Amino acid sequence: MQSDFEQIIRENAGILHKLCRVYSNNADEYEEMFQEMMIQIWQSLQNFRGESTISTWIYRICINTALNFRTRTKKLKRYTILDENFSVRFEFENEKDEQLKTLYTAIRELKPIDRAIVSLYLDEKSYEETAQILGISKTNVATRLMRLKQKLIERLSQ
Amino acid sequence: MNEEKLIEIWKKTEEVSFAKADFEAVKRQAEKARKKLRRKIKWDIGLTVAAYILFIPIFINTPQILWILPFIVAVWFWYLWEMFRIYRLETDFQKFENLSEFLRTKLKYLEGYVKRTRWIGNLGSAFLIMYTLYIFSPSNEEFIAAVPALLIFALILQLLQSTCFEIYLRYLYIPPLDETKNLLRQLDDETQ
Repeated sequence: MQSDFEQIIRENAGILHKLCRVYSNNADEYEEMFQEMMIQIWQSLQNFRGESTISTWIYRICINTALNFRTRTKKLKRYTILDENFSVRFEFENEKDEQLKTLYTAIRELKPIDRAIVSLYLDEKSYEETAQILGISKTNVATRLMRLKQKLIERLSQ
Repeated sequence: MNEEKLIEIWKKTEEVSFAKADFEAVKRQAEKARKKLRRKIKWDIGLTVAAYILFIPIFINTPQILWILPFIVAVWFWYLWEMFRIYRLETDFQKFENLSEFLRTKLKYLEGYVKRTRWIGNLGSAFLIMYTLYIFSPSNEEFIAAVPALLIFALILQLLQSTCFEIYLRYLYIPPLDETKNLLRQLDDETQ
């Protein structure tokens, strides 16, 4: 199971990274969120029944984790710990890409739920998968995406 | 700029590299976090037991109020049950089918806890007023027709107690409760 876990994380690290970038406010929070997402994936790996694709399953866990960060009780915050033996960094090779930076800034300006919808859309998840992960209707996803895409296009065209 | 271009830009997102990649550490950390929470619950139990030991002199001095003891024990069990399910939800939420289900359960737990804590606080206030009047009244007549100063004192104590309860709730539980409500509102925004 350990090797499965490693493989899953390495293959899907991009999802964790994108969501952490979209939801965290600074480097410390990024790292804490990344670790928490991995812990949640590790804890639930044995319950993965293969009913959805692994990436959809990971998205579901990671979005729940990212939003749980915002709604955690103060008591729990005090009990969250970081392990020094694990740290994650992302390559900054594209950091100079102005468009990418603007895109992330624009996404971070959206409401938390909209950020999830946009991230799933940009990773080319279908309306059905998005609706399944968030627990809303396909119509809801479609309506919101229309407005959100327009917003992002306008922002990036400035 | 169009939709395809947006996806193209998104795909340029940096590659992730693991600066230190001890995956065993994740497993260890998961276990450590679980143990820490277990310790926290034990600490809560210890604290409650200590608080009840402090009640002993009160019961010795006024054995007439011994009937309240089962209620206090019931409140203790209730508190541990509430804490356990909130901690459990916050650390073990992968079992939920989707975000909506998770947020709704969290709202239910937090709202329930806040409501029940206020309710218990109100009961405690009533008890506190009665108890203050009882121990500071030298006779039954004075207990029935308490002097204004004593009534004011009892009310101040009650006010202090309910303020402490409210501060506790507002500091620890109201912010996550409001944020959960806010997220659910966002989620349901365009369902109609």
